[in-house]
Amino acid sequence: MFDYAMTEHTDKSAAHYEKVFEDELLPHINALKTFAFHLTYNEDDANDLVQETYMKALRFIDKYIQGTNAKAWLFKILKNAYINEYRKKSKRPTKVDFEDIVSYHDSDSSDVNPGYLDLREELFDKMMGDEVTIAINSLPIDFRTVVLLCDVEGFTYEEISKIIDVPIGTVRSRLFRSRNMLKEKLTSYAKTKGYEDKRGVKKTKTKNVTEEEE
Amino acid sequence: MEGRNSLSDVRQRISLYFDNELDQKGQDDLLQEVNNNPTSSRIFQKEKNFRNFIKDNVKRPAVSPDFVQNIRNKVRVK
Repeated sequence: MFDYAMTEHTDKSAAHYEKVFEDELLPHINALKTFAFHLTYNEDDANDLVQETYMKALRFIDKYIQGTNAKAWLFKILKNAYINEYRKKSKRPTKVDFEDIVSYHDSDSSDVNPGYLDLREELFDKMMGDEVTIAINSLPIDFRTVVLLCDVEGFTYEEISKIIDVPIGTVRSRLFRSRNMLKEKLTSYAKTKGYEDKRGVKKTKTKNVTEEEE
Repeated sequence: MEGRNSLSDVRQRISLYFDNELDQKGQDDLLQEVNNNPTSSRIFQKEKNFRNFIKDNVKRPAVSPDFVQNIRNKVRVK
């Protein structure tokens, strides 16, 4: 059990904080687990990270303003816990200054071959879903993080900016680059599964027949 | 060149639209562009497919009831 005497809680009852914890913090546990899983690559570490996040949230719960953005607050705690603990343990390649790369790609999206990034519905039909996880997990951590926060969890640029402590412009450019990398990976995967770009070929058959021929 | 810049602008606005980062006027302008321009419409649809595919297919490991209860137990006052 958590010892409230060890916290900085002074002016409110433990019961009050328990209720805040139950009503506002605990409902985000599934989202936190998903985020943690894609940071750590395995469920045991993800569980440890989520548990640590909640313990830290509890320790500083008097800093949380009831009714505000609990989800963003928890994600920030989790991200910091990951950086402080798990990232050191994993010894994965970590901090790289991607902004030079990003600024180049962010300069004009039309520089990227639009045909290469052409993801049509037929392409997605051929995928099972696991490749999304594989593709996301293969992204460098800073790029993976923004995709998870924006495309999976639906945070705004401003919220992401606060969670990962970077300017909004950096969030935007990382997202742009991350999505292009994801599209490239998914397109490559689709090609290995037999997808061919047949634009320009007159389509007179149903999609299923066309897929069988491919 | 103007066409490429215009296409780039449309792509950026479509991306912002799906990120809910366009104001109301920006949304209205973009949707009008999408409705009136087949190229913009195709880009819009592809981006929508991509976003939905990521959101729908990313692995979301389950949280067991025991794990939730374990955290609850740690929160309870001694």
